[in-house]
Amino acid sequence: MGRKNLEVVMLSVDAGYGGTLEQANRDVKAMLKKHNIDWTSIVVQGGFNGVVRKFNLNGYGLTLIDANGIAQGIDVRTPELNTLLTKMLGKR
Amino acid sequence: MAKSVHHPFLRLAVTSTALSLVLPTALYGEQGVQNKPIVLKMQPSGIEREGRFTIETDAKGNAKIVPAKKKKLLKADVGVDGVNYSVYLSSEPPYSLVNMGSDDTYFENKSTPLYVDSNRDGKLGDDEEWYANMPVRIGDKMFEVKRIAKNGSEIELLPSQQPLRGLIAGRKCPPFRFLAQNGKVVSLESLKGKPFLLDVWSTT
Repeated sequence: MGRKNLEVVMLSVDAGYGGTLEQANRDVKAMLKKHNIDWTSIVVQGGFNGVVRKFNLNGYGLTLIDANGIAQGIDVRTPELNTLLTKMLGKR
Repeated sequence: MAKSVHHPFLRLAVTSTALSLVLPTALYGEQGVQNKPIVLKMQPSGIEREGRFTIETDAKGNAKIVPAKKKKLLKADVGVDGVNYSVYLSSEPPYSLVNMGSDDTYFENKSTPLYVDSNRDGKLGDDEEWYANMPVRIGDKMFEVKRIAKNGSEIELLPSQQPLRGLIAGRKCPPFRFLAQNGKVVSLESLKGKPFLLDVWSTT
């Protein structure tokens, strides 16, 4: 499918677990490097509290936003995610 | 049987037997948002929802999950931008507009939860839960909870100028702007025209 058609924005909530923001940044970078992940990565200040205050999301998970900025699925998992992506992007 | 009262900018549902909402003079005027409160008259809904489970620790330090009990919910309808939404509140006081917890996350927030049936399917999902200490999203508008009557019979909402917050399936993603680890600014605007997945995660 490729990131030309779909962006992944990772919102890390590590900063909410007691350490400093700098430490959370280091931990996240190390983890992404270890697993060779190069998606857009953000360490949210305040961790889950920051995510709740902006998105009203209280748990880990995936939210799919379409090209018009409309949320198409919240806390979506396979196979629902596959169905939504196929519908949105077509078969690839 | 329910009928609707039509207003140029606000539509409130009332029952034929009792006025369930106090009609404000105007909510969204042509001159801009007017700070007119909306008073929701809460009525029994017949719907129950589980509250939060709690974790208790015994004298030996063993933690135990205590399941939440179901609470009956009160309900009122409010019209926003021509669409009626049901707002729910537990029928069991006390209520609080203030969060005495350490932060605003689900397990810590001690203010009163409210539920908005945003997709109007008659069920209340986790993403339809809001807290009275923060602005509540109804449709694409934000409201401050100004008052909850001691017995839960009324909720007073005030239109808020706060930015849109909260994700609702089928509705606009709220605006955001973050500095990514690669030094680039990522925002709803910068992602315009491209679908994206928001992945909430942690290394722990």
